[in-house]
Amino acid sequence: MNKRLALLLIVLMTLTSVSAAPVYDKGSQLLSFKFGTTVPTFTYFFSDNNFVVGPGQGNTGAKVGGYGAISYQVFNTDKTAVGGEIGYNFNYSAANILFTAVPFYAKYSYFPVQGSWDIPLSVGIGGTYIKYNDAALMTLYTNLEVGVTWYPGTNWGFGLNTGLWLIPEFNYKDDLKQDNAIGGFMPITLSITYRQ
Amino acid sequence: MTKKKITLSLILFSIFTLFFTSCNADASLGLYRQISQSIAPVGIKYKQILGIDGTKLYFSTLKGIEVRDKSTGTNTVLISNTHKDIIQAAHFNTTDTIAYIKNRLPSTNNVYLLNNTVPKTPTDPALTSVKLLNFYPNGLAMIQGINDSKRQFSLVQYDNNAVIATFPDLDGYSLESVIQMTGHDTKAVSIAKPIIVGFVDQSGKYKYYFVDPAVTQLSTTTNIASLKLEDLRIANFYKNNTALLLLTTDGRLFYGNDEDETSFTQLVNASKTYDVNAFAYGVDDGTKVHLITKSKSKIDPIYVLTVDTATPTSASGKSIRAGYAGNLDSVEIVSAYEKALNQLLVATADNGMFSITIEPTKANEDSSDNGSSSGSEQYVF
Repeated sequence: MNKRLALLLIVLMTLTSVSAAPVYDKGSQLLSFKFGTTVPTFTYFFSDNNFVVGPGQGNTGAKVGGYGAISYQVFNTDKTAVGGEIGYNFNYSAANILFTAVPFYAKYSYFPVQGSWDIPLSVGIGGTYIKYNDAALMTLYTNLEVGVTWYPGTNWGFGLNTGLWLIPEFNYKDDLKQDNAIGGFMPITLSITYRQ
Repeated sequence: MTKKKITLSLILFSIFTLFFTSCNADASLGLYRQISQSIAPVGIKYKQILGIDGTKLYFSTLKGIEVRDKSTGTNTVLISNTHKDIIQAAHFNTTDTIAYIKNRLPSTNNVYLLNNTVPKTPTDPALTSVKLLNFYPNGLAMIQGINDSKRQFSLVQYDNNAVIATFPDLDGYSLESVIQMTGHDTKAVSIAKPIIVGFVDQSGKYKYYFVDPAVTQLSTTTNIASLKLEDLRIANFYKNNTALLLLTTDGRLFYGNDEDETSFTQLVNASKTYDVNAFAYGVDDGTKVHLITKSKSKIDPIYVLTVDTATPTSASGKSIRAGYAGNLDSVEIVSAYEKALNQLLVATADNGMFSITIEPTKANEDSSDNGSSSGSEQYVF
């Protein structure tokens, strides 16, 4: 146990030391490609106060799916960047029917640690098109994300990212209002980033 | 700068308004609700319930023809589908046990038998150039041929070639559908168990014949001047002593007194889509008829259309998710078998078979009082 703690401290100290000298400045750019999986985390139905958690039948009803995206960000200070991301997500339901989401959103990232290792903390807000069976709508999208990116050289980096997406469903047809809900998904993605 | 900010604000406001007003217009149920209610396939893919013989239930599945033993609760495959020979339709009776056709139609007119290596070849002696078109769970075969130089269709009994009904003088028409009332697919055609046979020409005009087994061509006139039955596809129907209800694939419900009706009355347009031969089981509670339907959408709940037969000018519709419909929300119903009045076996494509019991006077109530349902594959017969 003590060895593990020591190792963690060494890693943190290394990262902190790396972060001591910012490598980005205003105008630096990041282009990332992401691919990975999404875990249906929860669905909350407002009308009946029903909160279902986890993938699979009897829970959210959705299975673990996949996600791919491309994002672009420009630094507006030496520690923060703004940009956007567009992606494609899919999950099959327990009945093996396809659910798709196409999120596109503006993204704001803070890089407290940067250098050979980047640890970006991001928040995103935008929209997404979602579709399942005979239901489809454009709706809001927001997310929180944290990642770790390793740059073995100057420009190319390899990362691991996770976070939480929130996708609400607001229906305006009277007989569908009782189904208004918010869904949560947890992405776990690998990324390849080019920076300059 | 201020102008730019105003423009940006307007754009953002428009985008957010778009998101909040984007309508899930065509959905039968909310998107997340549909996903949360989805049910995993149980591993058996039913196609048709064929019949009950004491303690044995015969049915067709993706594997072939199977029989369920009531005492052991096990299924046995009687005839397997193979890559080249897939059973297209079958019929059960106590003599031949199983009669069936394969997917090699129309190259062969054979009806094969489980207990006999010599197949039957249904025909109508009045016809030449006979072609077997289809075979039905009640043992009838639809054949097409030439009579007096004109195209004719005949419904014949597969084992003795008894001609049940003929549809002569149909040059330019092809078979559209043979519709059997839900729950009665396996029953012989009679006044109590009629069928409707549809034909369509190349311009998309339909001709419908009511068969009980006397043949009556249905009127094409409706109470809406611009709407003709010849332009609509009938999905299913229900007939009792007081009403003939026709459900169309685009969700319209029509009423007529009987098959001699000269003008059918549109009772409602339910804005749902049905397959031909969709599940539409009629329940008569003495004053009202409840047509219990399942639309084409797998995740659409059971929808009951209720008609007061004393004043058949409109129909009400209601989605039912409780009681007898409790397990039929997220399933594709492929076949139903009436065990007794208002008691059905309901087979699904992916979610197993259920037995349901319907309380007639509460058939359109969305509560557990409306009847009951077994669990998947826990059906009783």
